[in-house]
Formats: sequence, structure tokens, C-alpha cells
Amino acid sequence: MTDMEKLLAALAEVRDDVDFADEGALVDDGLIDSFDLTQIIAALDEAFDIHIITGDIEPENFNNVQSMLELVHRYQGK
Amino acid sequence: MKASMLEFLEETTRRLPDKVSFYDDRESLTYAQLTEKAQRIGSCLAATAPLRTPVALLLESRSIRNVSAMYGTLYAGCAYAPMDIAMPAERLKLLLDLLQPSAVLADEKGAKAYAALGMDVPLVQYANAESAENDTEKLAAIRRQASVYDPMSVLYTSGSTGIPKGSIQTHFSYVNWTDATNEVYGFTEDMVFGNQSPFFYANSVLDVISPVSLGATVYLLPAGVLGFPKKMLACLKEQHVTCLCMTPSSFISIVNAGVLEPGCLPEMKWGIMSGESMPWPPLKVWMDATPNADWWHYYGSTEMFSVAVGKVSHEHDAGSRLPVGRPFRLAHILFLDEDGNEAKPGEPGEMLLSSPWIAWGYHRDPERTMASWVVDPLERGWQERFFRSGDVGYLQEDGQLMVLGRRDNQIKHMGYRMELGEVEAALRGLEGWEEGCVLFDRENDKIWCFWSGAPDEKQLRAGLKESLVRYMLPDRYVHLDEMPHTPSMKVDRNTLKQMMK
Repeated sequence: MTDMEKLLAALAEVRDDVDFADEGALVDDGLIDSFDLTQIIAALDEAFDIHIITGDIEPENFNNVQSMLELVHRYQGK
Repeated sequence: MKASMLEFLEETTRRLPDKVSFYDDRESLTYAQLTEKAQRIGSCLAATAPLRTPVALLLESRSIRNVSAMYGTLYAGCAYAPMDIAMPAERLKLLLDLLQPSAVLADEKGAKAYAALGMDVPLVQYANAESAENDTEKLAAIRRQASVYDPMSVLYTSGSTGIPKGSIQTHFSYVNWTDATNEVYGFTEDMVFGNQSPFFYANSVLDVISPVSLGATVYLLPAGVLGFPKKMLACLKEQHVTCLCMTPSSFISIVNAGVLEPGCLPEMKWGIMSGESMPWPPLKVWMDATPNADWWHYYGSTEMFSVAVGKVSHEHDAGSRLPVGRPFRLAHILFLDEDGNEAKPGEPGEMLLSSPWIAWGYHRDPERTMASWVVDPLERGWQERFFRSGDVGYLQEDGQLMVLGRRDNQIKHMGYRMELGEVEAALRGLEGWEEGCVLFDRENDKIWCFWSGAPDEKQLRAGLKESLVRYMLPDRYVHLDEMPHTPSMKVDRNTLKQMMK
């Protein structure tokens, strides 16, 4: 499984009604809120064995899956 | 003294027509514009909604349109019930069925959510309402018929049977509460309120009502901002916010993100913590970050608004629990022991509250109203009406109120008030459900669901999502081959409690 597939699978567990793969402004358009975000961070932590520090994150990191993957890779030191 | 909340708006508009009242990241309204919009909306609504009927507001939650819609509803002589358009369709329909509104006032997103429910309540489009003609004669006629005891808002809270309760507050409640609140906090016209709480929660009342009476300005923090503490902090700084009222859980989440530096918010003057007990260490971090602010605790609920309020001393003894301040001068609290007699001074008892602003009851629900509001509980003949808070507390010797907790299954999860019974009712409604229960681990703020029988965890999660708001969803699921039982064959909650450790 590629990292992107892994990410999409983790996101689908949190919200199965959001088209994560194609949306570009998840936060700005209000498609995900702070509840989802807490769950998404927990899901990413678990799926990629990282620990995202909430003080580090900006809305831009969660607007689309590409940015989320970049964030994950930054934590993995890739 | 005022007889309508509209008098506050009109007085401020005469005094400060060009001052900004509310703004968000897209729109801004001066007091003159707010009043004009509200009158247009009121004129339009009045054509559909008869006097003293409830109107459901279905608007994008982080938009100042909610405020125009609320005051517009009041101009129509109606009571508003703001709703969360993001909640599951099943629950939104349940609330609308309970409310039986005479009209639904909705923006584009709200209209979409409403259309999915297949209901036939007349829909008034916000865009049409705000540009409708201002029918001054009609609005004047409505005002002549109005009473200070007219209902103003219906705010829904979780109910243990799975049916939410709609708390009714009148203009009389709001007028009295506003004067008392402005006085106790020493609020001023030059304040900038940062609003984080959505309008369908009673917590937001402080941000919507007080500022209008003062002629202050309110900035609506952007959607989901609590999830981005760094951005939240930047917003507070850039918008020069001087007053922030949130639940302790929200304040704590900012502290945990590690973004608060000592002295970083010098403009903040009021930090107000609502609804539940705040632990001392994170409060200290906020105090250090806001060197010019006073920090306030208040105790209240949707039905009671606020009961007691107090400034927290910077010299608090770190080991002891924080009191919630002194009861309002216009509040009367009775403390009753288990037998329904008055508790001895300083001894804990269930708190019953009488004040000018306690809700009149639960909308269209005489049964639960009778259960929660009691006349003359001590049978002394004075016929005073009290609301049963369900909270246990006592007055300290120094006159400060200490709240100890609940008598029942009501909890605060992630800062939101809810009933565990509502989750259990939803579980019982799931196909194939056999047996189980829901428990709360207060220390870690987690809801646990224990169950036995057929459905798997995925099915439970998916099923509950259909009918419950997300903050009500359990955090932990534990499947058991067999439920432990008490000798009387009830689920043995004490054994399950041990399993949460």
C-alpha cells in the first residue's frame, strides 16, 4: 500500500461521507471541523506511527490530502 | 427598565449607528446595518410566521447572518431556535418535529440540509428576507401587541430519554440577565468580544446579547479554529479581542498545544470560563499569557443562564478546587438534602434556583417541565418557583459557591453537556442490539460503550453516527461475551467501571 492509499484509508475511517481525494479546501470550506480534525490527527498518528503536535499545525496542512501527506512525511523525516 | 431586547438594539443604534456590531472573515455589520437588516427580515418573516410562534434558524454556524436572523425573528414577534445544520439529518428532523416551527429561516447551506428532510414547514430564504421591504407599519403593530413575557429563544439540550429538551427564555429573562451580567463583569462599550461558541449553545448568549446592550463589537472566530491553536492565537491578536468566553475544555486545548507564551495577549481583559470546573495549572498558563486580564468562572446551564460568577484570585492555592464565584444578587439558591429538607449551612445539597431569568420550562413538554420546575419545594406557602439544577453544591463561609457535581447521568464531554441516557437510547434503537451500557470516565473525558451480542464495533459506530451529534459518540468500544449482572439482573455498572481503568 502506498502512503497515499494508507492516508485515504485512515481518513475514510473518520468520515466516510467526505471525498477526501478530490477536495482542495477541506477546512476553509467547512467540510471538516475541529471534531474531525482531532480524530484525523489521532488516525494519522496511529497509521504512520508519528506524533503530531497540535501547536504545530495550520489549517493549510489539512485542506487537502497532498498537504496532509507532506505533514506526515515531515514528521517521519522523509 | 427595558421591556424587549429590541430596545437595547435600538438604543445602541441611535447612539452608535456607524460602529461595527458583528463581523466575521467575510462580512461586517454596523449597528445601523444590523437593525435595518433585522427589520427587513422581521417584515418578511411576519408574512409567514404568526406572532409568538417559534422560527427555526438554519444558517451556516460561523456567520454573522445568525445575528441578523435572531434579531429579525424578534422583530417579527417570534422566538428563534438556532439549529446546527451539520448535525445528522435524523436528529435535525427530530428537533424540527419537536419545535413545530411556523417557518424555517435558512441560508443556502441550511436550505440544502432542510430540503433533505422532506418536511413541509414554510421555508424563508435568508437572501430574500434580508433584502425584503421594511414594513414599518407592520413592525410597529407587532410591537404594540408584544409583551415582556413573550418567548425569545428555544435552546435545545440533550435529554436522557433520547428526546432533547427545548429551554424557553423570554424577553424578561434576557433583559434582567443582561443588566445583571454587564454589572457584575464591569463590561464596557470599547470591548471586542471573540465569539467561539456556536449560536445553538447557550454559551453564546454572552457574546450575542451583552455586546448589543453595550454598543461593543463582536468578532466571530473562523470555523474549526479550536483545532488550530496557532491560528486562534493569531486571530485574537490581530482582531484585538479583549473578552473571550469559552468552556474550560476549549481553554485547556489551547494550553495543551503549547502556543501560549507569557504576556502574548496583552489586550485581553476578560477571560470567562463557563459550564464546568477549570483545573488550576492550565488556568495559570492563561493568566500568565494575559497579564492585563481578570479571569472569571461562572456556573450556569441552558435553563438557568448564569447563577454565580466570580473573579479567580491570582493567588489561588494550587491544590484546592476552584469555587464558581458568588451567586448573582438576583438569584436565590436552595440547597436540599436527600430527604428534600434544607441542608445545613455549608453542607452540600441539590441546588434549586429561582431567578428572573430561569427558563419558563421545556417547549411543548409539560411533563418534563413539571419534573424540573417546582413551586414551593419546602412547602412554606410562598409559592416561589424554582428550577431543579440536578447539581450538588454548597456555599462556603466566604459566600462563594462550590459546585461538586451531578446527581444523575448528565455529563460534560469535550465541554458539551449531554446525557449518557441519550446514547443508550440510540443504542437500543439499533438493529440487532442486545444489551449493554455507556459509562463515562470523567478523569480522561472518555465515553465507554460496553455491549454483548451480535453487532460489531463498526456497525455500532455507523449506527450511532446516524442519530447522535458527534460529541455524544463513545470514544471506546468494549465487546463482552457476557454482560455482568447484579442480583436483580440489571447491568452491573460497578463491575464495568473497574474495566475502564
